[in-house]
Amino acid sequence: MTNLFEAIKKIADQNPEGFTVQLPDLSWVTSGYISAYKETQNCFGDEGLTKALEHALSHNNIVGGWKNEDNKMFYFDSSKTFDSLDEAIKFGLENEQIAIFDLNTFREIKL
Amino acid sequence: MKGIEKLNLSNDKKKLLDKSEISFKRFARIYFEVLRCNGIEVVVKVWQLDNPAKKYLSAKELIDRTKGVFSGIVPDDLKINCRPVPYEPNDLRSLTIDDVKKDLDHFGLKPKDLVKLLDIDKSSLSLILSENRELSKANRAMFYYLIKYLTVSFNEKHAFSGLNHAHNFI
Repeated sequence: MTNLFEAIKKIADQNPEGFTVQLPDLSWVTSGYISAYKETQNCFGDEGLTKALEHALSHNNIVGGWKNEDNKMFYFDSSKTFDSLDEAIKFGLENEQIAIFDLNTFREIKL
Repeated sequence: MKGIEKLNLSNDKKKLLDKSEISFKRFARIYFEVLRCNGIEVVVKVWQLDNPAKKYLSAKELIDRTKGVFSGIVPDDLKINCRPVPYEPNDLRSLTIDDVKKDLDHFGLKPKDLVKLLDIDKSSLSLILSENRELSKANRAMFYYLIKYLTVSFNEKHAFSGLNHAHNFI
């Protein structure tokens, strides 16, 4: 967990625009429809990363983040990918998301 | 989002635009900037940078994604005009002699044609193409921009007159 925490912090520092990686190998997630879990909304800083990481490890092993340029804080989340658009939309709505993202075509799907 | 202050929108709608941009930036390295808004149209620059997925959208796709972000947020009677800038990989640094040879083949060019096109001596060119002389930065740039020029010229000529052979340039 400590190693993953440090490794993800490093990825975050190198990718302030954002990143989404699969655990534990830290490979980039590049396909499917992706939606975040509501439990990891507003997770920021070290505490936020710990929460998102713990959630990801006990759910779908996907963690990501981006730097908020307004307050310069890093925000983290735990996410899930889907092959089916219908399932992704259902999950997104259940998790109170305003949109999901299609990683195959780089298209935002507003909910 | 850059230039968002130019839009006469509620804070809630501006937040929605910002959230969209965060997703596009995070997942696709796609960025938006509102260039101007005059009540008739909103002009948005959209561009993509290199991204970990190595997927790049065309100008048409960038326009489509921009309209997807702004429609439903800006008033329906406001025309959304886009200025797309697709990502162009900088392949200058990675150009090899093999790449050069493939491109020359593609254009049907022989070493003697290059001698004429580039005004360089035949022996120097032979050394480079046979990889007995290392490809210098200057030579790499020379080949890179020659191929770029040939590609653009070829496409233009091909489009207008149906010419399909690079010897038309020599």
